[in-house]
Amino acid sequence: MGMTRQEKRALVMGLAFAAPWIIGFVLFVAYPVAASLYYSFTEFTGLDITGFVGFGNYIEMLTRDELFHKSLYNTLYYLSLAVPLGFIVALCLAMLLNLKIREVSIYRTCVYIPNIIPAFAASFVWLWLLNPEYGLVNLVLEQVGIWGPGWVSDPRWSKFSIVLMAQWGAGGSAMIFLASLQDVPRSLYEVAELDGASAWRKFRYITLPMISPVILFHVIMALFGAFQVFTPAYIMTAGGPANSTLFYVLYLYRNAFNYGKMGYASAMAWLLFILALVTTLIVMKTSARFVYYQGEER
Amino acid sequence: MRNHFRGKFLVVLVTAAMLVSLAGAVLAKEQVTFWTNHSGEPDRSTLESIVTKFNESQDKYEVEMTVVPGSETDVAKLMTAVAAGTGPDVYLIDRFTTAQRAVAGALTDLTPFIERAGWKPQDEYLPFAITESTWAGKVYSLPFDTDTRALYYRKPDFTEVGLDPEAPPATIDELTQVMDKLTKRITERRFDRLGLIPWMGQGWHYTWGWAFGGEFYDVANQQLTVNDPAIVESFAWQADVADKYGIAAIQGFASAFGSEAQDPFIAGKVSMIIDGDWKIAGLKIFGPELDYGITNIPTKPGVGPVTWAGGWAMALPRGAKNPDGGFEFARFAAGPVGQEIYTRETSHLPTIKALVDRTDLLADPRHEFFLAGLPFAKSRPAVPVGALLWDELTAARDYVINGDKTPQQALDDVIDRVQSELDKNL
Amino acid sequence: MAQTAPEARRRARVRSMRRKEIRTQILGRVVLIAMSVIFLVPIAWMISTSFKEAHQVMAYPPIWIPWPFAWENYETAVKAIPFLLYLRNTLIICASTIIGTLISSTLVGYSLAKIPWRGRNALLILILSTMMLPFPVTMIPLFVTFGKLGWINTFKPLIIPAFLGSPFYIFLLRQFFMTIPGELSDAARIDGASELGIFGRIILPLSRPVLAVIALFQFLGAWNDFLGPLIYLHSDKKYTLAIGLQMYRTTNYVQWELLMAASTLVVLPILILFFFAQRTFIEGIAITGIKG
Repeated sequence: MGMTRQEKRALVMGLAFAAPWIIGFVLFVAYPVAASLYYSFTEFTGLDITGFVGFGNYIEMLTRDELFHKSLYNTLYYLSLAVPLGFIVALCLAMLLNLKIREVSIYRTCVYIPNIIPAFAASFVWLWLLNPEYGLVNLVLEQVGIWGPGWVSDPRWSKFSIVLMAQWGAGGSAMIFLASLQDVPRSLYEVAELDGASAWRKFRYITLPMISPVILFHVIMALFGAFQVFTPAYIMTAGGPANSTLFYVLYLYRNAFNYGKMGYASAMAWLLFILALVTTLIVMKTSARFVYYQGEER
Repeated sequence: MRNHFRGKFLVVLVTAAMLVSLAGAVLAKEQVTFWTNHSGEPDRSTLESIVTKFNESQDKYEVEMTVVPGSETDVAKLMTAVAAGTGPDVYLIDRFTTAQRAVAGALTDLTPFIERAGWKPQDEYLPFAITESTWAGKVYSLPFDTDTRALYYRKPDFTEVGLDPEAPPATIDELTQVMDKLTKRITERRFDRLGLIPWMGQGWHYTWGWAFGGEFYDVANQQLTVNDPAIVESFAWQADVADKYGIAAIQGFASAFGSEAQDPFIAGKVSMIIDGDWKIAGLKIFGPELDYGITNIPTKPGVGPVTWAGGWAMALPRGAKNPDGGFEFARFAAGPVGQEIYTRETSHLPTIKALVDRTDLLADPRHEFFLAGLPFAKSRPAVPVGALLWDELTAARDYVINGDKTPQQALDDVIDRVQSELDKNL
Repeated sequence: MAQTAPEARRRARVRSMRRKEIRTQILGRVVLIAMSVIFLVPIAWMISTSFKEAHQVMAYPPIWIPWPFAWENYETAVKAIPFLLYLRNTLIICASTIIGTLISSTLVGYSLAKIPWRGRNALLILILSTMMLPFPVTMIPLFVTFGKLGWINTFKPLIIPAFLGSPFYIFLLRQFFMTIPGELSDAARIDGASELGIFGRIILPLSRPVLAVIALFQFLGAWNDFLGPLIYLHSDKKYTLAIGLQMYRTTNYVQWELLMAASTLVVLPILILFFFAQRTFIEGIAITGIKG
């Protein structure tokens, strides 16, 4: 074809280095993905296919299933809060943990702890902290004259409470940001300082561009995580109160394993897939303007 | 001489080897695998002792038990294993999900095994239990243990507000009054103690629906009847309670105990709670000093004593490699010998008619109250949409107590969503 | 004299920078201490509960410092499950998956970031898109695949996929590799270095901090994974600690004091490990100044 020798060599090397994933894709991903696409057009209990329904599952969920709409709404609501908030919290934490303080190792460990401890211990403490009557959060709010809401027990606040709780795990993302902040050459800051640049300008014109590839990573992963938010609702609220934390994947899981509607669950999964893919492509396209790759091959 | 000896020795050796292998062929027992998610004690070790007893009782099968932890509705492990043909021969199933799993194709129909054995399980088991194990006239599981529900109340709280601790409320009206008397307010919107939170513990939609005299399912016509006027009334009563004390205040109060790690009844934050017989064991461990009573769930006048039962059952997953051995073990474990051991060691209630009067098996005399409830115990509709119906009823109750829907509308909506799913399976 | 004025200005500026730095440090400390306290509450509760007697677990208001300490909870908890066996199983899986992930994901990440081949961006999208389909719907067909291979009830379904790259780490590495200046690898290429040589001698050494993060994440992921071991392992001798922790749960209540004692035993080693591992970030490449 119209490839130079160099291009051919690059193609061969590129494929060779990517081989582990390609092998894994063929062995363990392609078939389950294709199977689930097929299931989405059937009535499938998880064990037996009892009928082929064409687009029936898709039509039912888009036109008739009220709970589907509710779960989609809940998820998008969660996503629109959790993604920006999670980004800000994680980045601020990372910047703090990047300060030259002698005992910073201790703080890093503390901040990371919620990622280590089992979820049930964390959920207990959260319910306790957010308790409207005795919880620390409302006690503090009361001091400043605000009557705090019933965080988890009030359907209007429950989603926001789960967003708040998710920030407790921000230590994980903060570690990735921290690793990337460590990579920013100190010489850049030194030059800027001698030029008398303000802290904001250093952040805006050095830090942000230098870590922008990792920001892109974080945003896309946070989007995926928010689209598929499941665990907190599964272990703490069981989707309640009044279905206010019935997230998309929780409802999907119930259809798949509790209601024996694996076909319907597969259709839900594929709709979510399309939604996530479109979102990702938009983010990727727009990111080209913001993300600065030092090592960009031109 | 030496050669002769050696020859003789060889003959003996060969004979011995042949004998051993022959005996091995006769004695080699067929493997039967058994999965349960009862990971805690005393349930786990009691199941193990039933397995041991079975293995000793005959020499054809050898059962091996594996604990598969996870919650009762977490069937991902069972479903994946059955799909790949790597499932067990026997599985201890939440009995109320039998119809659901049967329709999904996860279970083996036991009817041919039962017929071959010339056996009538209907004669042996309590009616509600064998009904739950049956779908479309076929038996898919053998009932194991069960449980019932009652009203627990703190005697000192009754004394404190001038109520007779030996005369707990019997009707809904009495209950409503007693709730009020037992409630201690700090301010208008804050409580130090609530008499009862209807939906706490085992105060489910089913509990109150039945207590008000409602029925959830018309078996003959295969129609859901969850908008039965009595059930609508029970929802309206819960909405009234929510209104009277303030839903935000109650739920706020209740969510202090939202996780399993805090028990408001032990802490004295509620004076009464609907709960199951297992609470006796929990109270013994976590609240050994507590002076409490157990009584029937208050009902509407004329409804009569009400309770409902759940429990577990032995099932054979589809694709069981040794279904005959599995059935033998299931029948043994769910039969008189297995259930007697289980009742004696765990105080879970039996589902076998022959054991219903055996109060001597119960460790704590308080369990007798629950045993006495078995003859009139109700059970959830044995339909393949049981889990969906449960989730929908729970959401409907939430809507009603939060004032988002009227009881009538919420329950009509449940029928709208669930009946069509049920019809697909009929 | 003419030269001292700018010199003095420079000194003043350095002094003011110092002052600012000290102010930032103090402020940072205050915020960090406050955050640490919030983040420490759950583990404090966990440890405190692990020393309680059963009847104190439910006490209200909560008891934070139990007295006397119920040390025996630890003995009971360890004896209730084959703790050392489960620890061994868990460590085998953790170690293997860390090795697998580090090898495979770095290779694929390198291909996507540093080898200019046509189609690499499409491959990236494909890799990312495999993360978008929720697991519940691919779980059964994937399980059937492992079943056909005869891998059920072995560690293989838990370990081998790690050797075939994980999208999360591949993408993370790709983003990190992209920030490494191209001149370094170009120069090596001109000198006749092979791709593998550039990858191993230039790119990997420059990526130590992110490799440490990945090792840590993978360790924790495997350590806490519940669903994978639950569905793939059918013999209780092969279980991991995450499954073992569920054994303190009875059908109707939880033996909290035992569960928390066992959890503490499971968490403390990771904490210590993390405390030392995070130094890798500090001693990252930035200090040596090779980069940029």
